[in-house]
Amino acid sequence: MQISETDRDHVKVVSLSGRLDSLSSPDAEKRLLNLVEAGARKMVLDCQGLEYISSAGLRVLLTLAKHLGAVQGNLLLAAPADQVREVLDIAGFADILPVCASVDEAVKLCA
Amino acid sequence: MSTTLNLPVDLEKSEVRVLLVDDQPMIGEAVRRLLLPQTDIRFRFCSDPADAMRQALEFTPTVILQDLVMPGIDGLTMVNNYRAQPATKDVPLIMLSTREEPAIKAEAFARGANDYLVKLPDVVELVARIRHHSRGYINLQQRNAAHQALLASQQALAAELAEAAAYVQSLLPVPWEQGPIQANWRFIPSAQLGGDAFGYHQLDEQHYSFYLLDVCGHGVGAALLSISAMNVLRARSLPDTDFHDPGRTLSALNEAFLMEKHTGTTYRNASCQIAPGDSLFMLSDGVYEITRQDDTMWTFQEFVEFMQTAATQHRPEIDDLIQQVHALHGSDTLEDDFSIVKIIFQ
Repeated sequence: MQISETDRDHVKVVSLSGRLDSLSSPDAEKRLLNLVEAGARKMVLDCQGLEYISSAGLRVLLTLAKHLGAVQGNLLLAAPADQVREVLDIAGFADILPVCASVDEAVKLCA
Repeated sequence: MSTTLNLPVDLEKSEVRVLLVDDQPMIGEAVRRLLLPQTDIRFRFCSDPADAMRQALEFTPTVILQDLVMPGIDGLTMVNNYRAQPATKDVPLIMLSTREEPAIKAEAFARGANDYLVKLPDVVELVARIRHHSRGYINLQQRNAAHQALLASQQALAAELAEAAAYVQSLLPVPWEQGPIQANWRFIPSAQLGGDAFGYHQLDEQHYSFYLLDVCGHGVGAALLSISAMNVLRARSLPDTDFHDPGRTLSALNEAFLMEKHTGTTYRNASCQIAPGDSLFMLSDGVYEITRQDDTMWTFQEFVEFMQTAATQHRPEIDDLIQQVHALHGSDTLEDDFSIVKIIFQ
């Protein structure tokens, strides 16, 4: 799993690429929570490159949302591929975390 | 855990305690006077080698000064004796001798002595060596104490997890071996207990309910949450819920077991046709998210292909699968709970 980050209009855009599964989740969680700890409050997860998400990956999203919620932050998901979107829908996550079709749209909403 | 690991030194005080074993009272008195100004060093003298071990066990020294030549027993044999006793096997031993032959020194070290001084040593050097060896011994004891505490806490945690795993297993349903719908399953809890649980029951003459839960996280907490949710499903105790409707049941569960902002979620129902003789597998992702020995992950697609191959070859899929998973992972202990239920529609 590759994770990269950029800042756009005071929004932290984090690109996830590869598989967010039980193997990659611990590191991904640490990295994302570090961003919150370092002061990130508005965050967009760019899921274009995300090929797969497991329950361990869903837990990472939930934990991140919880941490951001505790500091009045905001988390949006952007551009998930169909197979990832389907998992988010089935698990009911699309109701908790706003999912946007593109990163631009998510950044606008978040900023 | 070692049961012989007693910790003779009072780690809170961490004081230096010197036991001198020498048959000559004059040497005992000389060393006592040398050490007298060192108010933090406790000193005991033993002139009877036959009583040395008893005194060592009673005094719990952080260093033993051992005379090499004594009547009745030689100092090298004493070294063997100290090293054979669990309570003194790690206590630093400084040999005191009037002899300076390298061969004797080498023999003393070979038997387990830590240092060698020629009588009577300079006080500055003696105190420095006593402090050096005592510090090393106290550090070793402190590390042993920390290690022992860690082992005890790990054992307590493992016992709790094993108890919770046994409890989860006791709540899992009995296999259905007869009738139009048959069900059997395998549950292999992970070392950390992954929060899986599952069950099935007949709702009415026409309807059956099958469910599998995988709570986020690991440990006793995740397992208890999973059990609570399973009990709610078994007892059908969710308010205003039609248990014939899986989507609404999930929504009601979601309301009953609140997560962060996780309210008001609507879950979709879906349906598919099942022909007589078909099998349905219900599983947690611990069944296919297996870390291979090369650190890559077995994929869901590979899992599906494996099950299809087993089915076409009329092999017992679940047992084959367990063998495959253990072979892939290279260990019988998996990272996540392994839960799979096979439902056969006759």
